[in-house]
Amino acid sequence: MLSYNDQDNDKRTRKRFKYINTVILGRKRDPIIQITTSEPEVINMCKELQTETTIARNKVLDKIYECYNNSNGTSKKYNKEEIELDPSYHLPYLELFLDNDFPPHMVALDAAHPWLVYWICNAYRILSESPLPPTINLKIKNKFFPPLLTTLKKAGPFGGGVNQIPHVVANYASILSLGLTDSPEIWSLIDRKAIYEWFLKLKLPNGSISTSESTGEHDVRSIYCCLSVASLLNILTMELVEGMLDFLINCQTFEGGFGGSPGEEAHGGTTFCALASLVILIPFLYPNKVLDDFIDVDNLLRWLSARQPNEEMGLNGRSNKLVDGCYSFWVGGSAAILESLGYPFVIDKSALREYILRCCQSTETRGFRDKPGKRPDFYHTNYVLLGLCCCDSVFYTKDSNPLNFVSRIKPGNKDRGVAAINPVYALTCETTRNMYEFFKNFSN
Amino acid sequence: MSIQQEQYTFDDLDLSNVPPIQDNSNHKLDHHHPRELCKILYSKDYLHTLKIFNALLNSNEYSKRSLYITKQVIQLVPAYYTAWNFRFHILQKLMALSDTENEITLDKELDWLDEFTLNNPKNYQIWSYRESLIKDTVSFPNQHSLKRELPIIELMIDDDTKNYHVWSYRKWCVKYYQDYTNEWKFCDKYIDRDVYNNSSWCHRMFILENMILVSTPIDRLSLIEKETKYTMEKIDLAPQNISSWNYYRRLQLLLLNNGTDNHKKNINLQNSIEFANRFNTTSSYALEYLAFAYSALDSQKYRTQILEIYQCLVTKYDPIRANYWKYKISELE
Repeated sequence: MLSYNDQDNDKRTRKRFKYINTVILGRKRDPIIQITTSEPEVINMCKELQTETTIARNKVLDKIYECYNNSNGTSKKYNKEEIELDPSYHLPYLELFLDNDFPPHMVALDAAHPWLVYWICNAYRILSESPLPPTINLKIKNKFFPPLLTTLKKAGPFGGGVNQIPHVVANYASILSLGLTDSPEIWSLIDRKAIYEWFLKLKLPNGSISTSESTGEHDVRSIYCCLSVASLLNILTMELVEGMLDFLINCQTFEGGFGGSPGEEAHGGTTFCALASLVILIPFLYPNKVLDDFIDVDNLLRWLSARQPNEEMGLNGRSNKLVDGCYSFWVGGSAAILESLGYPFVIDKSALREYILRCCQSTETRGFRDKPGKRPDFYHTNYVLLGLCCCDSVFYTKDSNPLNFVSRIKPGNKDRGVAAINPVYALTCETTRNMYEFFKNFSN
Repeated sequence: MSIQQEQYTFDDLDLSNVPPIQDNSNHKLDHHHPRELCKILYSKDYLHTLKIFNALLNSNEYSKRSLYITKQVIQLVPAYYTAWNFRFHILQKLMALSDTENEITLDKELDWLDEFTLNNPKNYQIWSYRESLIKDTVSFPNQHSLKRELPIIELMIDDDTKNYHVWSYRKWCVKYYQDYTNEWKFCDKYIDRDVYNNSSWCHRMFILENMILVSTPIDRLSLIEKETKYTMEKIDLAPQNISSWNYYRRLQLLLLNNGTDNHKKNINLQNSIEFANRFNTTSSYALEYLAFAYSALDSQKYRTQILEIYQCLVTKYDPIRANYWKYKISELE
């Protein structure tokens, strides 16, 4: 939305704006011109230069304002009845794919089978507010331990599908999927020893870990996928984590967030991976030290809070990038981790909740989406829901062990279909704690 | 194996000697087992290609026909990392053959990869594969150079100016070849095109911090001052820009950490305050910077000013970040 100050308010300006809107931006309807005589609630500081960034953002803002359904389009104040999450609207979207095959075009995700299982089952677990039913648990078990094998034996590490080489990120999604079953019988089939030895082979001299042997990415994402699994399965050792702490610390950028590797741009996804990794690593390596001893937490809080623009109210993943529902968790979850450690929650939870409920869902299609104008998918459905859990909860811990982090749904919360989640693991607190209790009895 | 790699088709492949593969997918399950979760209904073509691919993969056959099949799989599913991995191993083995008529070279592979990249701009397996090729296929160590890499990077960024993977790959290349000479111009180009492009500002900081590491204290100072002037111009152009203000803030921090002359440091800060004050009604980032600069100068002496700025941000200019501003206020108490 183009905006300008009172003093510019003359005919010529109006004409110019109309020209920009219709000829350059191709807008069909006229811009809404708001002449502010009294001080508006939020002072719009945009003395804007038109570039690719602002044009793309304004297009998205138009659609967002439509979702917020206000008549004048420049103020975020809208009169609308309260909105609540309705799980019964979205559950059929997930049930459909729990019971049916995927169409052929989904072959693009043929190297991501464990992700499909995790996204769908985790979203289902949260929305249905109860542990997964035995029928789904059996399906998950058969997916990772195919019953065609003559005898059921331990398996792992896991890859993206049948006859694919093991992959750290696919293995992470596999362990989370198996975690979701809450079944010690299934958990005992995971070959912890093989996973541990495979991790060691993937370690790189710079402290990071490769996603697979010989080729593959090595960044904070592969480190997080390794550390999350290693802590859930209780196979963390000094040898495994050697060099990781320094690598992670070096990924914090001057902006405050973390990049994928040292020197790279701060990003919502990589910031979550780095922060969650640090929260796993620090108590393991230095039980008497805190996060602030290793990174600039203040600059991180600053960066996280700057992800939420006043107009969109949802979160973006990088400076001057567009809002996207999935960052409700990557950024919102990072803020939740910090809240667990006693820092303030630097995202406006109720504003983010508005973005999620008004912009990430529509009456046309079930499931959650990135932003208005996009189609829902499993990835966004899962991470938007996890983000909503962050909005509706308070996070705390009595214990520096991240497996014991807890959250409580806020008193007075109106949404049904949200769960108390552990932000470090993107699973419910219940599952994380169950896995901890189960695997702590295994020796390394 | 006389036919050239590029000319293979499925009909040319002699598959009679492809070893059998155990089919451990769930297709033939009896009725007692539930249907496979997240099963994809594959096309016939895909199943056929994958069957041959798996047979060759499982028998570790590093041949030209295997190379051909990996390409088929990658074209059908660009994210099929097992095929990228197998392809890498095949190339390593074939390139190592001291065959004078060896038509399999790193250059040819990179040519194909360039073309594939242009057709699949969102795929990111490409970049780590490319990195592995350059690093680990050392048959002709000196033949390759940064020059070979720059055009494809530039094409990709022209097309998608904030593509995280491409910017990351560029940083990797610059570090790998230890050649920073093209970078200032490269950053200028994208900041000129879009002053809000945070990726180019971050690349600029990456270059600057490297230059600082290798320069003398005097060069260092003039470099930071030159960058400060550049950034001030860009802020003038578009004051409400988080990217240029973050860069500016970092420059001021570098000045603060440079040398021991406290008097000079204070003058620098005062100048930056004077600069930021010009935007105190047009940029919330300028206000944030002001609070930072006053705190760096003397948070006790300027306590009133700092408090006033944070309160303005809470109530008027950036209320959605109220929790963070209030946290900053609480730090003052």
